[in-house]
Amino acid sequence: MTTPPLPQWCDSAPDAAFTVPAECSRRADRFARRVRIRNGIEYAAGVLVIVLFGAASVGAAIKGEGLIALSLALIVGGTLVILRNLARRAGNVERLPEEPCLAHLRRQYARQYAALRAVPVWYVGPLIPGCALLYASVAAGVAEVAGWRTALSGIVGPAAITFGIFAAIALLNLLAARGLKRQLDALDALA
Amino acid sequence: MTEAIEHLYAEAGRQFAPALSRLARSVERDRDKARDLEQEMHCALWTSLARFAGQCSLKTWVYRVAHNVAADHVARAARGPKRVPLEEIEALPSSANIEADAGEALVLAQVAALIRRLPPVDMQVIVLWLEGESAAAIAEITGLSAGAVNVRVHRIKTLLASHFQRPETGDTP
Repeated sequence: MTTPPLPQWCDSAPDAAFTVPAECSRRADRFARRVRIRNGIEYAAGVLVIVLFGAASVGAAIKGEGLIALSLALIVGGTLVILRNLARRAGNVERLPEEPCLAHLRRQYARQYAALRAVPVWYVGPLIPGCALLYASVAAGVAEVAGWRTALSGIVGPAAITFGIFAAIALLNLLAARGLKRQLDALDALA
Repeated sequence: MTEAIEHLYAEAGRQFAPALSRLARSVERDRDKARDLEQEMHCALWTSLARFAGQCSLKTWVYRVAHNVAADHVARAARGPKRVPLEEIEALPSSANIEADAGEALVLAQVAALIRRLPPVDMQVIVLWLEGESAAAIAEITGLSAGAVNVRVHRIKTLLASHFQRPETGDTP
């Protein structure tokens, strides 16, 4: 400790006091409740997709549309994989605020970098087989009746939009990951 | 165990509560949010003290926890103004944009406004320097090399000196 360079800075907030531990327990409870609500919303959205696509898959199977039923079942499976990945990633957060600030920042950036870089694998990837098979089976069904030219012309637009959205999600996350990598390198240079 | 933690927490509060309050108010402009951030620092410290076994001084531990909680708070407020590294800042923020009574309060408000514009690493060094911590202590708390700390301290000294238009006093860390 040396002489403060700006004494009036250290003169402010002289009466500040720490929060009583009981209030910390109440804050922890409120935080846990918020996390439960957030997780509940995520799982509700996942369950909605599973119920809708699952029902559609059963309906398609009853009608004898085997490929379409399989593709919808794959989308349900992909959604389950994403939900599992979300739970696993959220559960891996380790909080050690007492580590040196640089190490703490680095850990935060590294965790975000790994998550963003892997988005194409853990968030987009599981949905691709089901979507691809769905478009292929619908195109094959149309082709049987109206020929492949008509089938493909009808499927190209929607497929391009779907896979374009997937590609955009992957690309934006990879770009964000690249930005974080630069920040990580800058932090390493300060140690 | 709980009694030891309570004792450490009380001791930390006695020594560092004002410093943590200043830190919270310097990184968060909104008074209510600053108070909430301050409480978050206290509670993170309370929880962390169960892991404290003299690995470092209590001061280093308290400042690490507080600054890391503050950095997480800044990271969550992702929609704030773009942050500018200290070496790219030419002067303290204009007083025309700051609400303060006058004189000393205005200078403190300008310094706080400067701090809110900085990325976390620069912010941590400057706040610890303003608290009167030495370069060696800042390096231990933050994990930065002594050189990186000195570069930032020199920069803030230059900024403040040019603001007051008088030479540096030399009694600073």
